[in-house]
Formats: sequence, C-alpha cells, structure tokens
Amino acid sequence: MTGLTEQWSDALAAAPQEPAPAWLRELRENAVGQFRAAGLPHRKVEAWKYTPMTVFDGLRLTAAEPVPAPVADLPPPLCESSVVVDIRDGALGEVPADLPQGLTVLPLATALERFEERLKPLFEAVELRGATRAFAALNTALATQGLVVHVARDAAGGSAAGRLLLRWGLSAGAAATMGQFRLFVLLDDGARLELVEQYLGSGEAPGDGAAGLNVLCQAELGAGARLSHTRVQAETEQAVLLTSTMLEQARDSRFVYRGFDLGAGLARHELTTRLTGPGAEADIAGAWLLDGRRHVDNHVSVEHLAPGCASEQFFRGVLGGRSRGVFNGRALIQAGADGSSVRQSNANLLLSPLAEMDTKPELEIYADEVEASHGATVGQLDEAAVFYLRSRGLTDGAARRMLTAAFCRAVTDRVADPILAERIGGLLDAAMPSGEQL
Amino acid sequence: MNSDQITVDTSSVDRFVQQKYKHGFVTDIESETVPPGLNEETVRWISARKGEPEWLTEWRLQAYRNWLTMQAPDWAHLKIEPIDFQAISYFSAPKSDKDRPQSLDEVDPKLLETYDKLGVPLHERARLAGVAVDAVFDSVSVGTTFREELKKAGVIFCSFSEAVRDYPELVRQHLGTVVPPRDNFFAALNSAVFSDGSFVYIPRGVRCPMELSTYFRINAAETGQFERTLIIAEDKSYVSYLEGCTAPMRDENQLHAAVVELVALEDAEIKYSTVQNWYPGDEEGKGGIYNFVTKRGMCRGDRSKISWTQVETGSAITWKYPSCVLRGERSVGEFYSVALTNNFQQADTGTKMIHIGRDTRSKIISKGISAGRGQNAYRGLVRVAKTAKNARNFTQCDSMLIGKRCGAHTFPYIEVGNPTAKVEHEATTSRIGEDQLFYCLQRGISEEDAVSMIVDGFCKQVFRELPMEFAVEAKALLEVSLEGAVG
Repeated sequence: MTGLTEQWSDALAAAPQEPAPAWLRELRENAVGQFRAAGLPHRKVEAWKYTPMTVFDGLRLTAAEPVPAPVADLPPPLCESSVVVDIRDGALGEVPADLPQGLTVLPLATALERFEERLKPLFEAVELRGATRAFAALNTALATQGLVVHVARDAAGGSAAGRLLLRWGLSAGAAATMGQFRLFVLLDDGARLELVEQYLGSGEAPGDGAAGLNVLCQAELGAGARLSHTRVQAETEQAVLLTSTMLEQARDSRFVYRGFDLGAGLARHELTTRLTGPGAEADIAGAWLLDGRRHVDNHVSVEHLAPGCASEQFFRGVLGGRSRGVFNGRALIQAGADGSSVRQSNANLLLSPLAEMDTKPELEIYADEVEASHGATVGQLDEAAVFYLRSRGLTDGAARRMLTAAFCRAVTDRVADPILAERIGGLLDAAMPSGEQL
Repeated sequence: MNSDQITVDTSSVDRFVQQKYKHGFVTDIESETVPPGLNEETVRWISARKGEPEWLTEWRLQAYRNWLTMQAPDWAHLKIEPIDFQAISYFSAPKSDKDRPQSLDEVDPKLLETYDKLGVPLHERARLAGVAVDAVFDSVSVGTTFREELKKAGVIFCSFSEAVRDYPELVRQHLGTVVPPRDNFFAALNSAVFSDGSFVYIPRGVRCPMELSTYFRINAAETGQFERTLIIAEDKSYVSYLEGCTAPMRDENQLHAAVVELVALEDAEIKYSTVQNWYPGDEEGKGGIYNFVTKRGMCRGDRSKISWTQVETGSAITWKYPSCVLRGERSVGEFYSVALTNNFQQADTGTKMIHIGRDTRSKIISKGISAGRGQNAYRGLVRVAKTAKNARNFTQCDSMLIGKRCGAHTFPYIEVGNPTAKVEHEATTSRIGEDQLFYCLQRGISEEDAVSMIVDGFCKQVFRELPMEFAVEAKALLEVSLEGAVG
C-alpha cells in the first residue's frame, strides 16, 4: 500500500457516518472496504498509465461538511436565462426553489427519500472493485454532498431556454482537500434538458496549494429523452479535477456532449454511455487547449448494446508548453447490436517540443452488420497554409493563431447555441497556447 | 442494396468452416525429453546438454531468476486459462541427435518424411527455389543446406547452438541487446530455457545471395518450444529471412515462446517474413498452440531498415508484436500483417514502432479477418520520443468480420512527444462486402471463390510484401482457413 492510499484509508476509517438510509450506509462501508483493498491506481494499471498520481500528494480527504461559499465569488454565468446552481469546493450552494414546470432540483440528502426507488439501483450499479474504481469507491464512501436533477415526462427542464447551469468553483490553497460530489440526472421518457457546467475557477487569485474535486455523475435517459451536456473547464493550474459521467440511454434517446478543457493541473474526465435501447444516439465531441504543465485525460467509452444505435466521438487537441494530453476513446459493439454505426476521430496539434500527446482510439466489435471507423492524428500546422497567410500580410504568430483557432472551430461549431458557441470560442482564443517557432 | 434480396446458401459455408486441419499428423520419432517442471537445475541441465560456455549458463540462470519475479501479462484481449509452467517439459531433442547427421542424406528418413507430408522436400525444393533451409525439428537443428554457397559470400547461417560454439564472441556481443532477458515474462522464460533457433550474420557490404528460410515444427507432445533467433546485418548489407511453420494435431495446449532479435547497422536492411500456421485447436476450441512471441528489431545504424511481414492463420492464442526500435537517423520500420482467426482462435497482435532518431519513418498495414467465434485484436504502439525530430508514421488497420459470433478489435496506442512529428492512424471495421459477393455470384463465380477473391484483395497490400513462394503459400493457407466461411 502506498503512503497516500494508507493516509486516505485512515481518513476514510475516521470519517463519521452521516445519517442515511441503511442500504446506503452499507454501501458506503463496502466502498471503504473496496478502496482499502485495492488502493489507488498507478502506472501499471492500464487505464491510468498516463495519469500522474503525484498530483494527489498533499491532498487530504475530509468528511467534514464543506461550507458553501458566497455566490458572488464565482465568475459570472457562461450563459443567460438559466437556472443556476453553485457548487464551490464540493459544497452545494442554494438550490433555487422557483423552478419551471416539470423540473426538480434537490440536494442529495433531501432527494434520497423522494427518489429512493430510482437512486438506490443507480448507487448500486457503480462498480467499486479494483484500483481503476478507487475514485468511484471514494465518491460512494464520502459524497454526502450531491444534487439530483429530475425532468418529468415530456417536459423541457430548465428555464425558458430549457437550460440548467452548474457553476463549479475550486479555491486553491485554502483547504487542500479532495472534495467529493455526487450528481444524478434523471430524464423521464420524452424529457429534455440542456445541462451546462462551468468550471472557471473560484474568482480568487490562485493560491499555492492544490485543490481537488472528485465528481461522479450518473444520468438516466428514458425513451426518446434528449440530454444536451456542455462542459467548459478552465480551472487554475492548482486544481485537480476528476469527473466521471455514466449514462444509460433507453430507446431513441439522444445524448449530445460538448466538452472543453482549457485548464486544471490535472483534469481527468471519464465518460461512459451505454446505449441499451434500439435507436439511441450519442454525439460526443470535445477539445482541449493546454499550456504550462497542464495534464488533461479524456476517457470516453460508448457501449452499443442494442441494434440500430449510432455514436460519434470527435475530439481535437492543441498542446503547448509542457502540457500533456491523453485521449482514450472506446467503442464497443455487443453481439446482436446490428446496424450500429460508430465513428471515432481524434486530431491533435503539438506546438511545443516539451508537450506530449498520447491517444488511443479503441474499437471492440462483436457484431458483423456494423460500420465502424476511427482515425487519430498527431501533427502540426500545415506550413503551406501558414505561408499562404503570411504572403497575405499576416505575421507568423497571427497566421498560426488563426489556423489553430480554425482547427478548434470544428468543435465549437458543434455547439448548438450560437451565443454559447461564441463565448466558448472567446475562451478558447484567450487560452491559445503560445506555439514556438518550429 | 437491400440485404433481404440476397439469399445465400450457407451449406457450403458450413462445410468449409468445418474443414479439418490439413497438416494434422504425428511423426513417430523417439524424443529425448526432460521431465516436466522448471527450476535452476532444469536450466543448468539444458545448458550442459548443449555444451554451452559458462557465461551463457549464467545468463540463462539470471534470466530464470528474473522470470521468477515476473507475472504473466494480463492486458491482452485474450481469454486464457492459467498456464501451469511446472507441467511443461522444457527440452526435447530428436534422439538421432546423438550422432548429428553431417548431410541431409544422413538425416533420419522419418524426419524427412515429415517435411515431405508438409510439402517441404528439404533438399529438392529448397535447391530449386534457391532457398537455404535450416530446419528446426522440435528443438534441435538437423540440417542446413547451401552453407557452402553462403560461406563464399561470408554469410553465417546456422543453428543457434552452432553459433554459440563457433562464433561465441558474436553471440555474446549481441544476445539480449534488443530483447533484454527481463524484457517481459515470456522473453525472460525464453532466455532461461531457449532450446535452439537460427543465427544469421551478414558481413559488411554483402547482399545475401539467397533468401534464408527456416521451417519450424513442434512435434513431441506437451513440449514447449523456445526458439531464439538472432540476425545481425552489418553496414550496407541486406538479408531476407523467411520463417514458416505447421504443427501436428494434438489435444494438449502447447506453449510456444520464441524470441527474435534483429540488429541492423548503418545502411543495412533486414526483411523478415513469417507464415504461421500452427495447430489452431479443433472446432470446439480444444487444443491448439499458445503462441507468445517477442520479436524486435533494432535499427541501430543510420538509414537502416527493418521490415516485418506476417501472415498469422494458426495457433489457438497468438500474442505477438514484432517491433522496430528506430534509433539510427533516417531509419525505417515497416510492419505488414494479415491475421486470421476462425473457430475459437484468439489473436492479440500488432506492432510497436519506437521512433528515437531524427527523420525516422514507419508504416503499419494490418489486416484482421475474423470468422466463426474468432477474436482478433490489433494492438499497436507508435511512440515518438522527444529526440525524434521529423518522425513520420502512417498506420492503417482494417478488420473484416465474417459471421455473427466473431469479434474484431483495435487498440492503437499513439504517444507523441515531438512537435515536428506526423502520426496518422486510420482504421475501419466492416463485414465482408455483400454487394461484392453478390456481384461475383451473379457473374457465375462460386461463393467460396468469391470470398477467396475478396479476402485476397483485402490482404493484397500485405501479400505483395512477401517473397514470391511465400505469397503463394500464404494465399493458399488463407483459402484453406477460410474457404466459404460466409453466411
């Protein structure tokens, strides 16, 4: 057992039991046991071979209730006309009471009673065994903070724009704790929700110490339900952010994901969706623009378990400084899932001699009537294109920035709302790594 | 096109899928075999039995001690029952080895008969085809032809044991420099107990006058085979090496863990071709060879080139990643592969291209075909080190699925640490083209011929890299393994 595993195991053992239903208390005890047994993942664990575990050193686990911070501290909302919920350092802020028809947003503790029948199987469905599941086990054991979002049958969740905004903030230095947060998104048949998450720092000047957050999100999409999920992450380099999103998609449901990683010392996002009903679709796209010593891991897994489902994974990365990007895309087509279509693509620009990109697009196919393709590239800007722009009077730097921005536009263009797309584009421009003259 | 409009008679399919292994027979030769089990004594015994110098005995023992601390890899996409390494016999030599034949005329006729059944009349066909054959029958080399002709060119082509005896300094200088004894679990095991294999040395400036070829054959029941091959190409030299194998039918799973090391110095080129057709197990997935191979080539010199071509149709389990370490500036690595799995065969195979030197280039073309309940995985690594300025890689891996219960998987690892590198990977997976089949059928071509044509076309990029005779053999093999496997 490594020092950190030991330290965290002790913290788990010392954590007081929060009041909860008996089944949940049992589950939490089990999670503690599983974590102690398997410990934290390390480089020899295939799914974690590229993730630097040293960033967790110095982060403490705490079971103490986090104190919600004043809302004013957080950066302004990324999009208007939204129902906004703030979560700072893993502590849930005030949940708006005045919600549109069909939308329910409740703190986990309150929701456990009302949605017990639906939450219990979801809690139980999370695999906790083994080192790869260490953070899921930690989350189950410690996440007393959480949020449950429910959209009733055929209703559009959120405000007039059909939108719910989660505004996260991590304040560096202050606590140096590894916060835990649980999120549930339940969409009944035909329900629609546009979920936007922003991780744009706490609004404070970055401190010295690290701040960690481990978020586990489970979403259930009923038949014909639509979930649009946009996530913009530009935390400070002190932030250690682990997020895991697990979806179950019923017949004809549609999941659209747009993820942008511009920050954090370490950001690791695991996104898994299971297409359990025929005709379900997952349209997943993302981009990362990294500079400094940032490290971003994106692990996407789409499981085709029913016939006639379609999925796409489309990711683009730009890496400068000493940054490191990791992409692990997986598409599984189970036997019997005929008529499936899978597309996977990951293109990257390496701008600096010290940056590194590790990409692994995987296909696992057990059915024959399918169409599957994937592609991955790592390269640099087309020098002929740079020359063309320079011949038109642009400076070398401007030409390169323009081409890099155009490279990322392929993802921002896929954000449906043009205003949101424009704002994200602006953030991307601001975060553009300074490429060196090669 | 609507698939409902096409009805395909599947009876011929079933018949061909059920086809028995054509090379299934056992030659009755008495073998000298050590009892099953592995300990330091076994390692010493093997080394002493082969009359090896002390440094090699120590080298083996060190590898064995390393092996004890290692664990069998579990990351491959393979379902394998745990292997009991103490239940395997680690050495087997044909009995007639005691008075080693001086020429092929003296070779045990039963042995020659075996080659005959395989369609490899050692002395005749080899001469006609201009191929020198160093045949490995189980663990000991029994005959080498064309040695004289090669000697004139200065080429050394002999069994590994002979090389240890006659050229110890060459062996000692290069052994384990490409695949270190503690490289991985199976390489460590091989280093401890390797039985025999081939040794090739091409001197500076020499273009090897013929294609060198070795036929391997696993024969004695429950005996693992652990060959060790070492090929050294000095500056400005060229060699093409062919390796092919078939094995008799057997019930017990047999372990096979070979190590192949290639060293290419300045401006040297090594072309290594393999046709692997070991016993794949029966229709129920019973028996078959477990094939865990470590093959690696080191492009040590500038402008050197190593090219791997493989056609893998046999074995119950294939775990094999022929790799190139591109250290020399402007060195080139190539990998061309056709892997076929039928019935319950499982393959996890691919390559590693490690770019270290400037302006290094690599190309990967992989074709996977899955039929029956076969599971076929491509696993490849392309790593561009910080030092590999202007490195270039192109990877294409396509999979074809024939049938409802098979699987085709792709696990490409791409690690790029230099901003001037260009790395491209593309892959597709699809079933055998129904429109193509239909087209052929309505032109009066029988179904199995049509499948054979389509598969042949699918694999063409790889086959054309094979030396002529090998390409013919490979094509025939694929047909035998697959004929009519469509439904």
